[in-house]
Amino acid sequence: MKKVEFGDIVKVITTDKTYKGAYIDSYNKEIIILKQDSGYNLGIIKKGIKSIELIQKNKLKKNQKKNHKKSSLLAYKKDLPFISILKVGGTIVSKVDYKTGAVSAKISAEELLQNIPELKDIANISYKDIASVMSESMRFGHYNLIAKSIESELKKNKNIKGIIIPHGTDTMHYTGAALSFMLENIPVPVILVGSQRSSDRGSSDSFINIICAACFIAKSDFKGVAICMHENMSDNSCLILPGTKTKKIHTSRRDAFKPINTIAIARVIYSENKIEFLTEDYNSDYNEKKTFNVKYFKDNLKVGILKSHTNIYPENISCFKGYKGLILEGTGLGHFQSTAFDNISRINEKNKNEIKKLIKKGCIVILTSQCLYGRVNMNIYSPQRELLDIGVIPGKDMTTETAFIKLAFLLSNYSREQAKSLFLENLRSEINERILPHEFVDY
Amino acid sequence: MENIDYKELGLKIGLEIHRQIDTDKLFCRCRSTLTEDKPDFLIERILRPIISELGEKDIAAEYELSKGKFAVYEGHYSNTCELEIDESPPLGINKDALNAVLQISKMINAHILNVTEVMRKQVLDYSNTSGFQRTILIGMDGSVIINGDDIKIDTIILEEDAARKIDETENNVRYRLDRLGTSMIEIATAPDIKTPEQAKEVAGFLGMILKSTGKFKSGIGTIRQDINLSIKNGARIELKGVQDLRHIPKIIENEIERQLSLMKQGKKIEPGVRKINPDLTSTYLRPLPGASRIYPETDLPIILITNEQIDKIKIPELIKDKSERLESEYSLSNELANALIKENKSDLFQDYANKYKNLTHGLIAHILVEIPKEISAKFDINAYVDDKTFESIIESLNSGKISRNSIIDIILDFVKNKKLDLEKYAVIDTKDLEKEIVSVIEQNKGLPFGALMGIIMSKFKNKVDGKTASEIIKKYKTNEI
Repeated sequence: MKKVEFGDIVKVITTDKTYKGAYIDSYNKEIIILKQDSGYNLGIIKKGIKSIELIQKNKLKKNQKKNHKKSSLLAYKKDLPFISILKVGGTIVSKVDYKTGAVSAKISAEELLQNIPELKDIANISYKDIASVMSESMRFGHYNLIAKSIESELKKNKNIKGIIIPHGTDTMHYTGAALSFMLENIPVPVILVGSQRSSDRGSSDSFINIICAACFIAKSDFKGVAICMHENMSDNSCLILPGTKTKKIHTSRRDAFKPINTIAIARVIYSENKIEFLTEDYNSDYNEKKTFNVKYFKDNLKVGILKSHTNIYPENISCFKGYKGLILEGTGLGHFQSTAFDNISRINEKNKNEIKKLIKKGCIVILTSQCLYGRVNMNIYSPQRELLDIGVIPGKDMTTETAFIKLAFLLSNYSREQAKSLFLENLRSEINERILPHEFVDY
Repeated sequence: MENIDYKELGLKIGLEIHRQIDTDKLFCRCRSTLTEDKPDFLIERILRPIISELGEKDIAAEYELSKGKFAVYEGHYSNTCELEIDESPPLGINKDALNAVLQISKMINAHILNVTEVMRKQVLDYSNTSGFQRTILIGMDGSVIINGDDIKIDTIILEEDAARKIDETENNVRYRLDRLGTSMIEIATAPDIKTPEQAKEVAGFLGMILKSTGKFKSGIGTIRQDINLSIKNGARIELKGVQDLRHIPKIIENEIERQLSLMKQGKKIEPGVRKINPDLTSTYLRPLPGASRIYPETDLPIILITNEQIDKIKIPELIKDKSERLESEYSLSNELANALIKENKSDLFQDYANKYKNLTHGLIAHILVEIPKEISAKFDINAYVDDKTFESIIESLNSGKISRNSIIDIILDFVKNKKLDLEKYAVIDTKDLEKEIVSVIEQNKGLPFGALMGIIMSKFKNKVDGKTASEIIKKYKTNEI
């Protein structure tokens, strides 16, 4: 088979037919794809191919180059604030990858901006590709990379009004919590923006989410880390959600992100270009007298999460040997399978012993709840008190994800004892001591 | 326009036939039903043109955006799930819909692709919540022979139908989502059609092929036909939305006339998509779409169609052939043969015709398709008769248990009371009848033949055959004299 490349116009002769079209790689090694003049792709099984003839070299590539000119978005406008976009990855910057046949984080920030010309009327935009990673693949090292980029952006331009971070949605709430803890006393808004429909489709929520984030930064005095996503399934408004108290609770809907045990910080009404704060003390974590300071994660720190379920075995727990921290995502008010009630449940006692062993070896064990809403309270039932007695720490009303990030952050920057006591303190509004009735689902 | 030499004119016509497949929706498990109920929910959306795979924004797409609108979508829980509102990725392809299109591809001798890919066709008129229509090339390079002319079929495509437009104002357009995602076939001919009349014949022939499979919907809104045409020195025009194929020649003639008149005035003819008006003229809609409008659907894997799968597909008898066969094999009139096919009773008819030899084929067909219609019309009642009931009636008629005269009453009785009572209409045994007639004659001595006949026929109504009764009366009347 002759060497042909992506986009070459070829003639393919098989045992029963002759095809013509632009050659496209397929993730399936046994077939090739030809794009027809009509735009349709058809596939040919390689086994049946007799010959491939090159007709014309790569037309597609040339077109792509021609059209990816520098955009005029960088033209400076005196009256507009500066917003820096630091691209991390995710669906919001995704398009089709012919190698895999799937969506990947390939769109450059520039391409994204070409699709959203409105931004140039909201702010002077600068942008930087800091990563191209889907969020399910992120590690602590990525948090450090993002925090470092933010630090250098703020150093470079004292007038920056805020930062937008296009990010994958799967773990965006982890990043939200991580940056909240890392960026101590940040003087500007840092808004994570994702999308549930990729930017290569006309219905993508990315455009409105980014525009709303920019609009919020331009118009507000908020300081801290937040997430900007659709409020509901319509394209009317977005919510600015707290970095430490938000969770993705739907796999695919635009409004997948909801505040947990709190309410959203603000609403941005897209059509009216207007923001509405939903809470008054949105800057309670900011202290004018203190300076901005960045603390990092230890890249190689081992902290784990174990979800409680029925029929747990000691091995479920003992595999965390050597971990510095463990979040037990318990059931209900804060239970774990650690008590024997009868012969059948006798093995549960061994589970308790395994937890005890981990704690003795220096692992900090936190108990959160797999109920999405409400607070863990370990004083209600005697099995819970037994867990408290062996040193398990209740995760209060924090989500499992936030508890995990907070514990890792503290273990990265403080001694074990300090981490234990700081964990129970409210550092970045991650703990709400007064949960109100309307701070639940769609109350 | 009778005097126009279409060859001289360089007329080239191609057709695109769209027809809904009678299955659930293509990429979700919603039923494809339409509803006029109050919507269960409303969603407002905005669509934007995007840079395509080729790095250019599509002209047609941008044109639509320039109208600066937003859409309101009406949803019903009965036929709309997360997919139609673009809130979840598609499920696997509907196998029944795929098989229906494979069958058609085979029937028109198309080359069926062993490997194909679901594509997204960018559609920014808001008729698709995602901003694109999912569409799949299934077959190519087919052909049909119509009145001796070879008409090439370029492509056979399986695709999703769009949402239904309900209303449009300056700022927004309102769509109902019930139709969105309905499985649909698109058959596109090459520009091989040479006259307006031939275009109608081709549309009719392709429609007949679709109908022959029994797998496609029929009725208003389930079929849409577009006409592509060009003439020498004119421009390529796509005429969208032919409602009735009888209109095709007039629509084409009107477009030719329009282009010729522009030429005469020395004006340039713009290529583009035009909407057909109720008076069969047309109005400019948008520029012709380009290839950059189509890019891969990344949420679905490649579709593989094996040769074994293709070999297994059976080709049904064409309606045209079936009707000819029914006429010649069973000596039916063309009208009855077509009625049997239309009412989907031809298999039943053939079964009965072979089983119940005492009855004429014409009578069986008459009972199956004409009597229910007569009853419906005359008594304003839905005269639906199930296959089992039909068979009981025809069997009894065949064995002489009931009389031909009583069929209408039996069926009317059945549709009114939802119960088949053949006993009530059973023919009286000839010996019993003779006794009865003799007693009637004795009681009414002196009455003339006609009066006696009247008494007997009203007494036994449909239980006796008039001919038999009259023969018996004549026998005893003669004796009396």
